Amino acid sequence: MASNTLTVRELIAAQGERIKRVKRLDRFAVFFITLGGIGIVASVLGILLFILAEAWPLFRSSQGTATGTVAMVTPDGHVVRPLVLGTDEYQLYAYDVTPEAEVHFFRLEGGKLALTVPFPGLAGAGVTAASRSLTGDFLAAGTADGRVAMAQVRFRPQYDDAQQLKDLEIEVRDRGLIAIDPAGRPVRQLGYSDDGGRKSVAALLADDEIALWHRSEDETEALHTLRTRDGEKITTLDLARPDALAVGTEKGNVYHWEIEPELRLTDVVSVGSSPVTAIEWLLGGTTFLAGNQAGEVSGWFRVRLRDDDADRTLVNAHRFENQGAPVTAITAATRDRSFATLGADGSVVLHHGTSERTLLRLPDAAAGGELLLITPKNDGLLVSQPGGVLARYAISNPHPEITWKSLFGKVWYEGYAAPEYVWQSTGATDDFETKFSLVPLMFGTIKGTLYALLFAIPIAVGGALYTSQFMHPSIRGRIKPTVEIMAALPSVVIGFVAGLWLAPMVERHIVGVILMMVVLPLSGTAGILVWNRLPQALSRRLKPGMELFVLVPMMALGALGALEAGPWVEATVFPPDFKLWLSENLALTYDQRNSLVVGLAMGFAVIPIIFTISEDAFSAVPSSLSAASLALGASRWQTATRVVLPTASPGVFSAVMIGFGRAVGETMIVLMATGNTPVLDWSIFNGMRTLSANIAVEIPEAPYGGTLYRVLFLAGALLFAMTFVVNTIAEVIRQRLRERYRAI
Amino acid sequence: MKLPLSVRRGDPMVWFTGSALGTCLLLIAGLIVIVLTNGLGFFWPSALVELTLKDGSKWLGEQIRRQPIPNPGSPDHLREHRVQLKLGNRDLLGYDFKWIDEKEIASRREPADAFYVERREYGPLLGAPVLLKDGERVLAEGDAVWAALQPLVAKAEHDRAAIEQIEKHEIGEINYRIEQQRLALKRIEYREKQDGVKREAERSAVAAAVAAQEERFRGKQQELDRLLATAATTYVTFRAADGTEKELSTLDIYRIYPANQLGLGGRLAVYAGRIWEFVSADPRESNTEGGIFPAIFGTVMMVIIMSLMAVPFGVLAALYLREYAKQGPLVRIVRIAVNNLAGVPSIVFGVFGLGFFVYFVGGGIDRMFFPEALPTPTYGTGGILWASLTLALLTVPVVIVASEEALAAVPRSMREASIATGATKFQTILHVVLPAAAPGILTGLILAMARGAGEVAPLMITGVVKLAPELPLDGFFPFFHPDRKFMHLGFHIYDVGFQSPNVEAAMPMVYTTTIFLLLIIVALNLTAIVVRNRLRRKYQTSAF
Repeated sequence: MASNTLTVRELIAAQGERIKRVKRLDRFAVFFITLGGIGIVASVLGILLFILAEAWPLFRSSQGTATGTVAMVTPDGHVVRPLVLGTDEYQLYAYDVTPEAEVHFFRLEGGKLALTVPFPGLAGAGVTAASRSLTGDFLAAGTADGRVAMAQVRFRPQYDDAQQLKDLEIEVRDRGLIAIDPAGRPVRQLGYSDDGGRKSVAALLADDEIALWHRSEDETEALHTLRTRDGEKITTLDLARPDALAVGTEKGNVYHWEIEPELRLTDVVSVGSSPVTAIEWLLGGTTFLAGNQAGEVSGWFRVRLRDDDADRTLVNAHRFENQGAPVTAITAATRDRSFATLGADGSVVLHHGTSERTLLRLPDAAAGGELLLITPKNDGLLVSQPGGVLARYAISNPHPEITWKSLFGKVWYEGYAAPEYVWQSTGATDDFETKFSLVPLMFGTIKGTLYALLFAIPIAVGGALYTSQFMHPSIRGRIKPTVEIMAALPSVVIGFVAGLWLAPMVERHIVGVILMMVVLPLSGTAGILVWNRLPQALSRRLKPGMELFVLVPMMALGALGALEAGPWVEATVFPPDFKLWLSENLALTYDQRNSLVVGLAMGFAVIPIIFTISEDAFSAVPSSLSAASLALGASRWQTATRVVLPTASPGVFSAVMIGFGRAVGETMIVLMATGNTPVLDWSIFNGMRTLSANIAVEIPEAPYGGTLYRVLFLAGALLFAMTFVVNTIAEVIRQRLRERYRAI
Repeated sequence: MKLPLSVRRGDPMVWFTGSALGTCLLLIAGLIVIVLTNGLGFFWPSALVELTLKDGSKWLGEQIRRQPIPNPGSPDHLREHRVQLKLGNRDLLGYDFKWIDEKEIASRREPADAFYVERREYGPLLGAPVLLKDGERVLAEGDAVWAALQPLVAKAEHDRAAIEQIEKHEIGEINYRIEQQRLALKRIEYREKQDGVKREAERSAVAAAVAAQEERFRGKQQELDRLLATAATTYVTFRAADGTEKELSTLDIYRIYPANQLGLGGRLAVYAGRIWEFVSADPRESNTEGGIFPAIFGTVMMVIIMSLMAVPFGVLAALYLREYAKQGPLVRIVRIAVNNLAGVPSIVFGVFGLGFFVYFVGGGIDRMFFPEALPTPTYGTGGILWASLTLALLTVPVVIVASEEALAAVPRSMREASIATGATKFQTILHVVLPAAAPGILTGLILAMARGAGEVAPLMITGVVKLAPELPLDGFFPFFHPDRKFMHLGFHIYDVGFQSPNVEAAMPMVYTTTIFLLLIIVALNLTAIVVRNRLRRKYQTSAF
């Protein structure tokens, strides 16, 4: 014994190095596999976190910080009192128009006066009012003797050798001089709009009188006089780019004039009970904002309320958070539909015109602000304060159009008669109002999934029940792999056949296809009649469970018959043809790539999943249960429906859930078999756009980090969450079921 | 009234559920039949018929369809028939297909001198060759043209190969080298900007290299011009059915056959030739003609990279979850979560791949290693590596689940025997457990590959393109270019079928591509199954 132990000891000692190495390797393996395993599982699960992190900035509030002040003082100590403010897109210069008819350019860094240019055409005159167009740096100055001069500021960037921006070359161009009041009264307020071809100038000359000068595309000029009703006192006015004029009065009314094609007063609406103090048109010139003495801010545009309305009506589409003080100025952004309001107490609030979101309230704004400007790149605010102080703020406002309400609620968009759910992410022009409602997409997802399940559940569950309970075992072994072939078919193949073969086929034989849905099960069931009358020689070879050999030919015949009978039924039941009948009697339109096609195709993709899982559930029902039932004299059908089905029903439910999860996320089939129009309509003859197809269509065009990009990530997170929850529920149910079977 | 016994027993209901299964089977059969009949017939050289209509016009083409004319409301509804001809001659007619009502047809015949010509552009040409010229010299006329033309067509193929060799490979190589030098120059400029040191020597080296390549380029260009001058001298004139004539350089003729004179053997030869071209050639005419070789290559390559990534990581995670982690509620939750990840929509993985791999990782690599090329992205845009990684992520849960099941199925007795002989846990896993579980893990790989090869949605946003000029694998260092975009069979189906300008002409291509995609998926499956069976046999005998 002793010597034996010794030998082993000796052996171990001899192999000590090797054993140590092996043990080291083992310890390393524990470390490596544990670390790797946890890392992989964590990173796979981290996908959702990453997607959420990409979507998260949508909901972050905007940031605004004061970045200093510029003293608007000329070198000889004269404090400038600006009538209007402007800046270039790089924020190198700020310019103003002063009562002395001068345009000053101040460097924003350092605050030095860089250039003073006399306002073209107004040498020596006193300026009483000035105006700047929203885009294009068009300036107008009205004088004390009833003249209006127009000019444009041009900035030309200059680059150094390394292609870095060095400076801007400044030019003030003359755009003409008009005598807007022959009587020579001073211009009290001014509105100016110029798009290069057309020009309009509106000048307030008396309490209730506006002179409107307009030059149209064909260079005809006209001068009109506009008056409010009953001498209502005008407080503020603004001109829009497509030539409309909005005028606010002391009684709280807004007058809206359309200038082209002919001048007319279209609407007079009451904005509130207190005097209107500020009016500004948003980017695009369709919506105007009105602020009043009570601090209320509202957005208005004109729209046809009903399709057959002859004219449009001015509607109050948006209401914004109260300023808390009389609104003294409103300024619109030139990149999106944000705007800023200035209160009499100096408060500055940044809003978004479509989402009604209050983006930002500048925390440390000094009282007494007079003029307000959002910089062209939407990254800053300029506020002029008494004493020639120009306060600068940097703002970060990347996704102003997104709120929970704009994603999931109804929003009133320009051109719509009422608030609606709309998805329309891109438009033809820069001033397009983006519409990011996820509701039509979620609706489309649910619609497609429901039609697919409507088709798939009966077939898959019925087929699984038949395969597991009634089919002869010798065929069963071949059926499952066949159905699994169905699962292996790539969805792009199914989608392509659905879109390019099935959709035109269904369109041509729509009645036949509808007939088929009735005829197929009937003809299959009618197989029993053939079965019972089979000649002896044949029926001896066919055992119960081999019904398929009769069924399938019968069904094929039924399908052909339905297709053949289709045109005849169409001609007699739906004269003259189905599509016309549909639009005349049910007011439904027929799209070639519709929900019926998607339902069939996506159903096809989902059937194998539901089939396999529910077949497993049926087969796993302990055979003692069904044997007992059969022994008590129940028929095959009674056993299947009263014993097997109830026992396996949680499994069937989880199969349907997993099928649901697959259909919700299916992309290629929907992409190819629908028209991808985001509509809210349950009609089976219309298409839809689903969350997944929407991502596939739009994300290649979405700029990195932009609002669309992040909204699509949010849609991805939504899909992830939906399928993950559904699958987890299904999985838990299945595990419970497995334990129950073990108990039986 | 008493119902018959069989009804009361529920037999009709049994048949009713049977119909559900029958529908399943009919659907599968229907889909396969549709794809096969539409796809396989495309390459078959069918006869060319010449229809003379009652108005005197003549139309020559392949009859591809015949159907009743719908005319709802009139008594002729679906009584009359019409035929669809594939006419070719897009450059002469402006369209490829024509429907002709049968009652308009005065006579039909199959002219012996009708030839089907596949050419470089405008789709096929259908007509009779009437004149063959070499420069201004007439070589043959009328019926003699065909005999004289055949060697020229064979020579054209040879010439085209030579031209392609120069254009694509040799000049392509020169372009590649010049491009590399251009990038090198950008790198130098970038460094100069960084540290302010002028690098004249490096600059002149680059300039010299570019000059040398440009010299080579001029030489090749002259060689190419010479080749083109000798190759493109012979012209053949065809007369279409309506009498218009079209002159075609023999160099542009890819295939020509007298459609109505071919026997079965000849037809089979054309059929096989077309299939070979389809598999081995590059696409032509915005993907509606030519082959799909780059798409096949891209698909296979992507699946391979994907498997290389998914299998080790999946197995590692499974080993941890099954062998090393303490089994408890937490591991059970993780297991369910991983299982459910397999059910998360593929487009979600695509979104993740775009955000994480392309913009985050790829953008980071660009900023770190390729700052000189910015703003043109190198890795910060879709490419085969990112697409494969995205798919690997998509398939890792499948591999984890399958591997875990395989590991769990290895009998306890085997592990205990190994431990009892003094093996460490890692030795046991490496030498006993993993080999025994290998067939199961391979099954997981099969499932993963089958899923990966058929996925399109996530690829569409991470690197697949409709036409990639270069394969991701080529003869230039470092041979494998993971940043390149690639073509994919599934995306090819989507693109040609739905984004093509001439969908009707492209349809058969889509069906044939579908057949190939299905073939590749089946082939991948079969290979893996064979390997699995072989491994199973090996370990069955060696284990016990």
